[in-house]
Amino acid sequence: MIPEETLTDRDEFPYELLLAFYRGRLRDPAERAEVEQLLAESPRWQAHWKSVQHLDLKRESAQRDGELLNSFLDGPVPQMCEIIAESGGQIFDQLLSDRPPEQVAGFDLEAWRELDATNAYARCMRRRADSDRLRRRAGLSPDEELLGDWLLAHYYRPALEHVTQSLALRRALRRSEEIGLEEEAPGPDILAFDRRLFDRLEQALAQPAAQRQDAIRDAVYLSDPLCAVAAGEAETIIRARPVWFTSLLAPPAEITWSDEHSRGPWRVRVLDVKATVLLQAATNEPHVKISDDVQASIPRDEDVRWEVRSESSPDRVHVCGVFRVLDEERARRLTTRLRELASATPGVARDLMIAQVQHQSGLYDAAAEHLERLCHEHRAGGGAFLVRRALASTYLAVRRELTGPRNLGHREGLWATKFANEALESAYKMLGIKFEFEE
Amino acid sequence: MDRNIAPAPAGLLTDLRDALGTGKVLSLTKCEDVAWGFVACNVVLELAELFASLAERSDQLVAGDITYGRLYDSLFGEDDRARHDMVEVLAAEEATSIRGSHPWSCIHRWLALDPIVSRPQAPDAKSPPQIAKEIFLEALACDLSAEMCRGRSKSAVEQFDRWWEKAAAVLRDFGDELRRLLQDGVAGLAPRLGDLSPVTVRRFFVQEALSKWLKENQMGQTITALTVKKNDQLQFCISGQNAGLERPKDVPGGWTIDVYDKLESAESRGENFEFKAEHLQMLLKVLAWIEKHGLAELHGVRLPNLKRIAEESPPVTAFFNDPEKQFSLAAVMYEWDEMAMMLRMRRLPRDWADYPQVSDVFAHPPMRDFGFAAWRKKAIAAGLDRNGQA
Repeated sequence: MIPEETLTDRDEFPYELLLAFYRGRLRDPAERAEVEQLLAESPRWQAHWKSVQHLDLKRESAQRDGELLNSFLDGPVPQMCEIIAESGGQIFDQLLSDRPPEQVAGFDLEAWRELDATNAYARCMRRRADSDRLRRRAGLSPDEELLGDWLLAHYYRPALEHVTQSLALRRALRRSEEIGLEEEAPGPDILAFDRRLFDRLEQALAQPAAQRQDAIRDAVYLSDPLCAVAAGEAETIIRARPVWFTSLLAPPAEITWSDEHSRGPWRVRVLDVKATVLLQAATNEPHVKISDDVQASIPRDEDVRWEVRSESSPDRVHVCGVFRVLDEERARRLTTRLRELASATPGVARDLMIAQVQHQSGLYDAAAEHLERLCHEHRAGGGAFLVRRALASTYLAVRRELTGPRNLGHREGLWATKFANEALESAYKMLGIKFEFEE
Repeated sequence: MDRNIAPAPAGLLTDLRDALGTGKVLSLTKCEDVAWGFVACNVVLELAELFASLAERSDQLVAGDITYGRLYDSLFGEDDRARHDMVEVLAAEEATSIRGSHPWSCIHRWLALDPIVSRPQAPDAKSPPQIAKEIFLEALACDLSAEMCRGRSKSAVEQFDRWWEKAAAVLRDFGDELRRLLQDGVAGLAPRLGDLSPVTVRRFFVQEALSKWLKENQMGQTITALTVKKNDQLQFCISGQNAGLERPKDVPGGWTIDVYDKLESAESRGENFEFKAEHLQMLLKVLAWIEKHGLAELHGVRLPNLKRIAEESPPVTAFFNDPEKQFSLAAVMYEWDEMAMMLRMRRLPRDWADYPQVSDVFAHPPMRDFGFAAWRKKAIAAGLDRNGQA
């Protein structure tokens, strides 16, 4: 009999048992009958079973494709492969749907069919999508490897990951070059992604698996201008709006902060550069409204400091920040420019252009809000990579303001660095590249 | 490349073992994976187990009714005669009770004993290397007709000798280290490992030290070289068993896979597949070859759909998910798999996976008695982790 825990343990599927059944090697009739029953009733077992149909042919195909993938990047790569890589394989959701559209990503179905028949990369990614589909239909966790993949992945997976990451990287570079942010909004490029960094990363990805992780880390640490080492350990991060340092188009109507690890009541002060108190308020909630009168008293084109203290520890600033409301003429010009951009053709290019203009003007709060929303919209591929890089750029700019000559808030500077690092790690993850900053 | 002796993923090992059972052989890279990720691990685990059991004078049985305690007393006692008698008794017990089920366990045990027992005095008495080599030479005994399947190739025997010489030398050097570890090392290690029993601590420590020792002495490379030779021999055996039965002429090597890829792609998209004239031409050739050599009867396979498709005029459609139609894609793919199996296996028996020729490459027991996932868990629990930082 099959041990009970083998049949019910959701963490580890009894791969070898099902393989033995597939090979006709289960000698005990009762054991065979149990597996037959599971295959008849359990979607989980059916998904694993389906994954090993024609196992010997699948193995030969996987072995050959693995060999082809090892030299795949040496020759010309069809654009459709870059599209697959950029989507992280999600494009197959459309291609393999019951009613696929006539065209997907600008190529008709016949072209995609032909690619599958002739291209090892496309084939392997489609098979991966097939497995995802089987898992989804059976209600399995994405982490549960199907038997067929558990057995055969070693032939092709390392090469497939390498090719996917490299192609996604190429695509991201091309996109960033096509977008041409600097031409539209002169000044440092918010994406900070160029051919030199691309070359270093591609070399790192080509390293043997055992050395790849270190090579990627070195490439990012040495060559990525968005890589910032956090000086010190970040204590509990307190988020704030407006973000800890920013320029604003108009005075803020509210200041908010996070209070997960601390409780009010709170005392809030807003001061100008001469330490004149513009607002002093007490509140039980982690936010304070700024009345029209106070807004009208906030000077333009000058730094304004705000700080929040908890009444339980009044000697310690809970969180603080600085904003600077742009002068009216500049604010009006920028508002017009941003409206123009917003009416352009929707897409990553437009969205990043808006972020670039906001960033260049020091509107970090607006840029961060805009980019964080875009991160929810773009969850894989080159677009997602670029959006997250831009977010990292924005938080790094905040950090520079806080910890540079202004020396305004060491803790807040550290938090901004932490956010920037998270965004950068997340950016690389969008390309399938695992990279983590050392704590 | 610098590698560690550490358990390979269970999926990889299961697949390679399964692949060998379907008439495939290993690539050089996969030989390395098996050697470092499985065979060398077993050498470490089995030697460590034996040394620890000996040091503990355990009541567990070595062979027949001989316990480790009795073996220890004989091997480390004052009486030379008793030592040599024990070697003979152990060899005789093994021949009746163990040999045949897992020859490589016996070989590993004799390897461990070699540095401990001195060379025999009596002219007809056998030494551990001689006994081990006999086991090695006899391990492939079977009913296969090809001579190169039943005996060892010259190069495999030579590599075995080199492996033995190297491994025995490593273990001789290891002797002093082992003594130090068993006597002094455990006391320092025990507090770190908390509540583990002294027996567990000692085994763990012996294993760690042994793994490191074997790695430093490049045992992995020597074991890889032997695995490669055994794999080569398997290739020769398959060729010998299929002598005179070459693959059908004019059918390219990767043809069955090329067509399978297209069939699978159609199935994935829920589309029909169209066999064109060039497909049918090749299919006819393969089916004629199978017929000519009686392979369908030998393997108990029928290919009714493929035969009818081959006789039709092109194009012939295999229909996805439409049982009303003449040719269903699922049935065609099933038969395609069977056809490819005959091209690969040819005259190899269907229970090829259970032949000692196959299990010999992995140096482990027959397939039906083995589970790589459980083995890997035990190996990791015993201290051989993926980082191999032993």
